[in-house]
Formats: sequence, structure tokens, C-alpha cells
Amino acid sequence: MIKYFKQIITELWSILKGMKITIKYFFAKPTTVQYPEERIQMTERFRGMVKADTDKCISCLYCVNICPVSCIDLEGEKSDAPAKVMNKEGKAMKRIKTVTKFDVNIAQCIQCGFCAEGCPTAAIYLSKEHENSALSREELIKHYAK
Amino acid sequence: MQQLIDIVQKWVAGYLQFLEPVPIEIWYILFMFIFAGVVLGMVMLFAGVASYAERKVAGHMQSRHGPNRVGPHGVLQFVADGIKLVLKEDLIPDAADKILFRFAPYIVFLGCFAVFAAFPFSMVFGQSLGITNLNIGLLYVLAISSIVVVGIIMAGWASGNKWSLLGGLRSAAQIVSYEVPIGVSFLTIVMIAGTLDLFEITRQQDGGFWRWFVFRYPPFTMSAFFIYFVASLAETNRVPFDIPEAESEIVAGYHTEYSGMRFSFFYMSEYGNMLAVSSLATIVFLGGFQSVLPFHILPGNWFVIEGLCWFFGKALFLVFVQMWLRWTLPRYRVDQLMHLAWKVLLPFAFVNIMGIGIWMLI
Repeated sequence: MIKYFKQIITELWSILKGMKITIKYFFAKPTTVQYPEERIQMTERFRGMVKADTDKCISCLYCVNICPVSCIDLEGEKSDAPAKVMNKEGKAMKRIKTVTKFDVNIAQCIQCGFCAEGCPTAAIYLSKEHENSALSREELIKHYAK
Repeated sequence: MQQLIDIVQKWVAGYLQFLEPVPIEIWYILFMFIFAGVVLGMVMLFAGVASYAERKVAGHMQSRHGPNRVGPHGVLQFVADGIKLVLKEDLIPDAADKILFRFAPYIVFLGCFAVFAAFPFSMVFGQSLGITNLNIGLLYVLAISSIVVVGIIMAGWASGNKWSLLGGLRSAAQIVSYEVPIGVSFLTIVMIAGTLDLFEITRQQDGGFWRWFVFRYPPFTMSAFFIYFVASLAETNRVPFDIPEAESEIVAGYHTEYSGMRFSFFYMSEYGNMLAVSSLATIVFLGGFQSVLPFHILPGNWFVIEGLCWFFGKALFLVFVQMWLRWTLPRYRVDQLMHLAWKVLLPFAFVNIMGIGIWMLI
């Protein structure tokens, strides 16, 4: 008999506890972000779509060789007037080659970041962009060379 | 009501000479249809708005926004849903018992909407504002609201689907069990009020919230109110008693095979039922259209507006509590459901009756 009443009281108490939690959330601000209108801030180390700055690129082919999925296609040719490019340490480097083709296949890229890590001039980098859906496979190959 | 009819009759007769010899019976029938239409429209609108409110409440309780695409804050969502349901194809499965399948939603609909006929929504000229005022109102409401179960069993059987049949059977067991605590908990109020007339019951609760029946004989009437509220959740198949349509076990229970307009009848009657049981709790326990204060704010016959506000304020608060519970509690098992009805609610309801009887004698 005591067990019976005890059970009723504990059940009622647990229901009230649950109702307290739900009403607290009812008056709290929703945590969801209304995506197309508002966006969340990407974190500093977020790895998004690979982008390249071909003005900096010296066609060393480091990224092509390190890429585990071979999604980078890069071609360069010797330039007549070598320009100077800053490398990562801030020292000037001679830019003997210019880029004629710099294609990155976004569909294959696994955003590992090896290319950006090793690039001597920080020409290739991972951006914060993540909305890279497309209607055809051709659109997914990004052409960065001018 | 008679005065109102006279006024309208004179006014119309003044403009339409040829309508003058219209007998009073015709006016009664006309008024019957008008009032029935008003209440039906009101409840259908409520069903739409409540379905929006339910989703909004659910959203906010789960830290979401809920519907917010159609119209400002998504208020037109129920209109969009309604249009979608009307335009949907009317599907009837091959294995279905076609006549019963077509008929079932209307029975459920009828059972939930006909109870509104007896409710006194407010007071005007010292009379009840409602479709009719029955001297056995409480009995009528209890009787009519149990027709719902017939419709649900019909739907479950006629669908020709094992999930539907299981849902129908569960519903039968559940609703029939929970009718008993509801009836017994109302008996306590009938003992105090000495009448089954809903308008008379409301009138006896005049003069401040301490005169409401829920506070009249506190330990007994409060627990009677509580028993009624729990059992009414089971009557309307709301969570935590939604085992007839438990989506994780039996798809959607008795309305698995229904779609389009027929499904929307079930949907509307669910929300209509929520309002019906909340209104009944308001009338019987929470003073119906009576004010919280011991006096009326609006003078004379303007009280009709104040009464409507009090009535729907209380009823809609109870509807909100139902939604609140829905998004708090998990579903009962079938055996736990039966345990609650027969071993907890019913003994307590009988203790209430005895307690109030002894209190009244003393």
C-alpha cells in the first residue's frame, strides 16, 4: 500500500520536473539558424573549398604531387620576365614559371589541406566557402588560371 | 433568446413585407442552422489554428522555430495545409470495406462536434449563449463524446490493414476504460451542484474564483479535476495516451490508410476534441464563463463579451497544457495505461465521491 502511494507521488513529481524543463525551453530563444537568411560563423580552422591565387603560384607542382586524390591539374610555362613573389617566410622568390592551367576538381577533393600546408607561397588555400553544389560534373571543376 | 428572435423578426419584417407571416417555428429552424454554422465554423477554425499552434509550441519546446515560411511567422501554414489536403487524391485501398471506410471519419467528426451544441459559451439576457441549453447537458456530452470510439473502430476495421485494426482495438480498450473515471469524477460535481444542466452548473460558480467547483471542497474536487484532466487526455488519444496511433509501433493506427480530406476530418476532430474536453473542464470545474473576480467588468448584457473571453481564455489555457504535456512525456505502454485507469484513477474517483458525501453531510 505504501509502495502504491509512493509510486504515484514519484510519478507526479517526475512529470512536474519534465514540464518544468519543457516550459523553460519554450520561453528560451531557439537555437536553430534560419539558413538562407542568416549563416553561422565558420571557425578559424574550418576547411572549405580549395581556392588558388594564380598570381602567387610558381608552378612547383608540390600540391599536384602531395594530393592524395589527384584532384589538382596544374600546368606552367617559362615566363620571359620573371616576377618576384613573397614566400611564406616573407622572403622574395623568383617566379620563373607562370601558370597556364590550374584546375581543381571539387567533387574529388577531400579537403585534407595537404596542398595548402606545403605550398611555399601560400598560393593554394582552403577557403571558408562550403556551398559548392552544382548541376553538372563540369561545373565542379574549378578553373583558377587566368 | 426569445427577445433576440423578436427583435430580428421585426427588423426583417419591416423590410420584407411578404415575410411577415413566417411562423416562429421557421425562425427557430433558421436560428438552429445559423448557430450550428457559427459553432462549426468556430471549431473548424480552431482546429486549423491549433494545428499551427501545436507545431509552434513543439518547435519552441525543442529549441526550434516551428513553421515560419508561409506568411509572417508562418501563421498561414494551416491554410496551406488545408489546401493541400483538399487537393489530394481520394485514395481507398482495395482491401477496404468501402462503405464503412467512407463513413468512419464523419462519425468521429460528429462525435466531437456535436458536444459543442450543449455548451454555454456565455450569458445573455440571463440565458445561456449556445446552440441549446439541455437540462441533461452533462449526460448528453458524455454520451455523444463516446460516439467517437465507434468511428475509430469503424475506421480501424474498414481499412483492411493490420495496423489500423490494432489501432482501433487499442482505442476501444482505452476510451471505454477512461470513460469510467470521467463519469465518476463528474458525479462529484453533480453531487455538489445537484443538476446536470451545464448552464446551471456554471451559474452556481458565480462570484470569484474561490466559488469555482475546483476550489469548493479542495482536496476532493481538485483531485476530481485532476482525474478528469488525465482521463480526458486519454479520451482524445493525446500523448502520453496516444497508443491507438503510436507511430513507432503501428504506423498511424486507425488512420493509417486515410489521406486527403478524410484524413483531415480525423485531424480536425482531434483538435476539436481537445477544445471540447477543455471546454467541459472549464464549465464543470473552472467556472465556465464566470469571471475570476467577484464582480463583472462589463455592465449589463455586455457581459456576454466578457463571458466569452473568460470561457475561451480558460479553455485555451487547458489546450496549451495538453500541448505542453504532449511535448514532455513519453508514451504509456498498454498495460501501464490499464493500470492507471483501473487501479489509480478509478479508486481515487470513488474516494472523492465518498469524501464529498461525508463533507456535505457534516
